[in-house]
Amino acid sequence: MDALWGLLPNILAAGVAAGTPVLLAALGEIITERSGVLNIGLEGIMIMGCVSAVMVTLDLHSPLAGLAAAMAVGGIMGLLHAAFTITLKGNQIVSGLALVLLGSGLSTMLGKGVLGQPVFDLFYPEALPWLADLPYVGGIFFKHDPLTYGGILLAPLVWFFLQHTRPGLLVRAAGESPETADSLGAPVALVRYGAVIAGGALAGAGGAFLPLVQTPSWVEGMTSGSGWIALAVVIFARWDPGKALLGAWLYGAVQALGFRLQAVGVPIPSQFLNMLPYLAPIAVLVITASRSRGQAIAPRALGLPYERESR
Amino acid sequence: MPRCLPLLKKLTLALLLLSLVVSVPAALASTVKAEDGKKMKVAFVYAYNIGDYGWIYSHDQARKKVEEKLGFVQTKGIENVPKDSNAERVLTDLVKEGYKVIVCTSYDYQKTTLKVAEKYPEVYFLNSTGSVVADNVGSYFGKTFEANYLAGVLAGLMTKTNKLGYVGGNPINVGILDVNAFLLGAQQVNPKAELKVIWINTWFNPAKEREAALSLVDVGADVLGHDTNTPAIHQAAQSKGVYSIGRNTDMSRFAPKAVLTGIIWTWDGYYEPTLKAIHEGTFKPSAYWGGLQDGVVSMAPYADFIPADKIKIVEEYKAKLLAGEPVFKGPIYDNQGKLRVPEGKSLSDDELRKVDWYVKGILP
Repeated sequence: MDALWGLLPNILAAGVAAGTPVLLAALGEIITERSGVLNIGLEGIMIMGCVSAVMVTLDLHSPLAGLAAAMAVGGIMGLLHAAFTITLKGNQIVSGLALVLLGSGLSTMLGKGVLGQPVFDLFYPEALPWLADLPYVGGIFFKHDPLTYGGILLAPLVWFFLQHTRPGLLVRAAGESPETADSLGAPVALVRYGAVIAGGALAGAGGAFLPLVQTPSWVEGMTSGSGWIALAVVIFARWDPGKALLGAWLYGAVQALGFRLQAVGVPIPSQFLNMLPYLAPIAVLVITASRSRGQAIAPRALGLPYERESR
Repeated sequence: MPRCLPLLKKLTLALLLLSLVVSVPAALASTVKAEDGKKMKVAFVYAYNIGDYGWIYSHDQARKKVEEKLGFVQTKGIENVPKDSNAERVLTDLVKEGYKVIVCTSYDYQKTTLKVAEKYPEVYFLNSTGSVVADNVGSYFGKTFEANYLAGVLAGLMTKTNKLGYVGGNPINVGILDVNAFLLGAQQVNPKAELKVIWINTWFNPAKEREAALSLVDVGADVLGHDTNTPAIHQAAQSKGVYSIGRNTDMSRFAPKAVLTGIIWTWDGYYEPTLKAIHEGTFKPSAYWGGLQDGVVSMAPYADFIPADKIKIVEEYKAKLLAGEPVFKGPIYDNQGKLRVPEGKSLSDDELRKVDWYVKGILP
C-alpha cells in the first residue's frame, strides 16, 4: 500500500491528462444542454474528431490544423443535429443516436487510408515555467500538453460565459424558458443553433486529443466510450463547468488507479479493476440523484423543441 | 407539429439510409485479388481488413509470398468477413466458386469451419489459432513464446532496473506462456530480472494499453513486452524513455527510439509446406504448433542503437533454440516456490498447453 501512496502524484497527473477528452466534450455538452438541446451523439462526434485530426495532421504536418479540422467537423455534426432538432423539431434522442451510428460508420470508412500510419506532429507535454517546480501540485497540473491546459482554462471561461455575459444569459434563457426569452425578443432558435454547434466543435476537439496527444495514430473505435462518459459527467456536474472539471478528473484518476493497483500487486482481480472507471460515474450519479430528491437541476426546457405556436 | 411529420419521417429515413450507405461498404466483403487459370485455388478469409498492420496484415503478407513462391497456387483474400453465421455463407460461396483450400484466419471461425467442412469433404480447410482437426480440417498456430524468450534475453541485457513489464490482453494459456518465456529469457543473462504483468482484459483498446504501459513504468519497469494489438504501448514507452518489444508486425516506425525488436508472424513458414502437401496429396490434418525453427514466428530487425555485443548474445541463444533446445527446460520453479519442471526435463507440447502458472520472478 505504501508503494501506492508513492504513486499518488503519478495517478493524479495521469488522471488530469486522461480526463481531458471527456472534459472538453462535457463542457461542450453543458453549453448545448443549457440552451435546451440534448445531444447524446458525443461518441459519434468524438470519433469523427479523431479521424479528421489524423487525416489533416498527416497531410499538413500541423497538429493545430488537425485540431481545427476536428473542431470544424464536430461543428458540422452539431449543425446537423441542430437542423434536425431545432428547425425540423425532430426527436433529440433519435438524432443523437443517428450521429453515433453515422460517426462510427463514416470514421471507419474515411480512416481506411490512414490506418496504421504513425502521426509525428503532436501536441507534446510542456512543463510550465516555475509552476511546474512547485512541490507536489507542479507535477500533477503543470507538466501537460497544450490541449490539457486548454481544457482546464476553458472550464472557468465557460462558467463565466454562461453566468456573466449577455450571450450566456440568452443561452440559459433558451434552456430554462424559451417562451419568456422569445417574448422578450431573443432569437431562441439562433441561440440554440450556436450552442449546439459550439458543443459539437468542443466534442470534436475532445476527439482530436486522443490521436494528437495520447495514442498518435488512427485506430478504429479509439474513443472506446469517452462520449458516453462525458454525458454522465454532465449530469454528475449538474450542468456546472467547474464540477465537470472534477468529474472528468475523477474518471481519469480512477482509470489510472486501476492499472497502478495491478502494477503494485494489490490482490484484486484485474477484471474488477478494469470495471472501476465505469462503475465510479454510476456510483456518483446514484449518490447525486438520491441527494437532489427530485429537485429541478436540469435546464427546464431540456429536450423540448420550442414552437412559438404552441406557447 | 403534425404539419411537419411526413417531412420528419423522410428525414429520419434519409439519415438512417445515409448511415447505412456509409457503414455497409466497410462491412461488405471485398476481394483483394483474383486471377484465372488451372491452378489450385486458395482463399484466405479475414475477420477485419488487412490495414490493421497486425494479425490480418501478417496473414496477407504470407499469402502474397506463397503465391509468388508456389507456381501452382492462385490466391484470393477476403476482408471483413463477419465471424457469425455470415461466415458460413461466405465459405459456402467460396466452395462453389471452386476453391480447393480455404484458410480461415480467426479463432472465431472454428465452428463454422467444421460445419462447412463436413458438407464438402473434397475441400480442405485450415483454421488458425484453433485446435479443431477433422478429415479435411487442419488447425495451426505459432509458438510466440520462443520469440518472446529471445526478446527476453535482449530485455535482460538492456534493462537497468532489472524490472521488465508486460501488457497482456487476456490471461489465456498462450499469453501466460509468452509472459513466462519473456522472463525466462531475461533470467538467462540477468538472474536478478523480475517481471510485472498487467492484464487489460481486451486485445484492443489504445487508451488502456497506454495507461497500463505507463503504470508499469511508474513501478520501475524499463523494458515492456505486450500481446495486445495497437502501437499505443510503444508510443507510451518512447514518451517515458524506456524500451519496448513489438508484436505482430514491425512496430519500430511508431516509436523508433523505444522498440528494440519484435515478435513477428511469418505464416508462409506454414502455408508453403502445407499447400505443397495438399497439392501433392500428402497432407495429413493436424493441430500444428510451429515455432522459430519452422519459420512461423520470427524476430523483427534489431534497433540500430543496440550494442553489437548484446545482439551477438541474443543470436547465440537463437542458435541454441534453432538447434532444438527447449525454452521450458528444468529446473523451473513457479512464483509460489513450487518446482514445476524438474532438472533435466522439459515440457512437451501437450504439457505446454496446460501451463497456468507463472515462473519465479513474476511479481504478484
